Amino acid sequence: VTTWQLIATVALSVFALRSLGLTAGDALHRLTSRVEDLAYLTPAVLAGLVVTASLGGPGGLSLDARVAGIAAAACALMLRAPVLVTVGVAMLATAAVRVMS
Amino acid sequence: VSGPRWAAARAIRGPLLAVGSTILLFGASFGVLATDAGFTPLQATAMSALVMAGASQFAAVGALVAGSTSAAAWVAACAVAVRYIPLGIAVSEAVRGHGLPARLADTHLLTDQSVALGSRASGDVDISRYRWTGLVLLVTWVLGTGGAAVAASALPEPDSIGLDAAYPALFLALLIEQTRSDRRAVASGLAGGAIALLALAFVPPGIAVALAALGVLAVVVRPGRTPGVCGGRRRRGTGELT
Repeated sequence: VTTWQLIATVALSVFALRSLGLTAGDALHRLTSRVEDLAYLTPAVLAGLVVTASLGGPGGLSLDARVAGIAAAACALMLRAPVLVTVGVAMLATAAVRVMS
Repeated sequence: VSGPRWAAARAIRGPLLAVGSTILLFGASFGVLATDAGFTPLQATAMSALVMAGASQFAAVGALVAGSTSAAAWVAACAVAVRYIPLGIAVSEAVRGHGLPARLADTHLLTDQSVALGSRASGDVDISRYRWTGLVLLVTWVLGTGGAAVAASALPEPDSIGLDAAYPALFLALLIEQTRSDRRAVASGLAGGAIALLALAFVPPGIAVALAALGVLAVVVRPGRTPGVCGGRRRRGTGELT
C-alpha cells in the first residue's frame, strides 16, 4: 500500500464516519440511546497509543530512552503545562538520556 | 458578505482565535512527525486537507512510525474517528435542509471544536458559528502542517532530538484532555492502556492499538447506567482534538 493509497483510504473512512452521524443521526438515535457511548472509544485508543508509542518496538515490547520522555511528559501534565510544552519536555528528556548513555 | 454571518464570527472571535493559533501549532507538530514517518511535504499537507482529523492522522502516522502495517494504521485512524458518529448526531438537526454542496462541506467540517463552538448556551447548534469554526480549523491545520513539513527537512536526526518521544507525550496530553472530569472516559482509557500493555508482549504495536479499542467495553457493557455524556455537544471548546 502506498502512502497516497493510505491517505485516500483514511480520508474516505473518516468522511464516511462523519456523514454517518450527520445523515443517519436520527435513525441511529431511535435505534439505541447508547450510541453516544461510542465516544468512549477515543480515550481507550489514545491510551493504547500512549502505551505502544512509548513502549512498543518492531518486535513488541522495547524499553529505551522514550520511557524518560513519557515520565517527564506526565510530570509536565500534572503541573498543567500546555500541550506543546509537554511535548517539548518529553523530547528534551529523551534526548538528554540518549546523550548521557 | 451578509451581516448575520459576520455577526456569528464576531460573537465567537475570542475562542476562534484560540482554536486557530492552537491548531496552527498542532498542525505544525503533525507536519514534523509525518515527515519523520517518510511522508513528503505534499503528502502531509494533502492528508491534513483531505482527512481534517488531527487525532486520526496522528494515530495513523504514529502506528506507521511504530512499525505497523498500513492496515493497522487505518484501523487506528478509524477507531479514533468513530466519535464523529455521536458528534454528527449532535449537529444533524442544524445541517438539515441545505443543498448537497453545503451538506458535503458541513460533513467535512465536523470536528470536536466546530461542534463545541457552534453550540449556543441553550444547546442547539448555530450553523454559521459551526461553519466559521470549521473553516478556521481547516485553514490553520493545513497551513501548520504544510509549513512545518517543508521546514522539517532542515531538522537534525529525529531520534537525537527525542522526536520519537513526542508521539507518546502528545497522545498522553490528548488523553488527559479527553478524560478530564469524565470518570467513564478515565475508565475506558485505563482499560485501553492495560489491554495495550498486555498485548504488546504478544503482538506488534499496531495490533495492540487496535485491541486497546476494546477498553471501551469497560464502560459500555455495564448494565443499568445512564447513557454517556462524553459524546454529543458537551465537548471542550478549545481542546486539541480535531
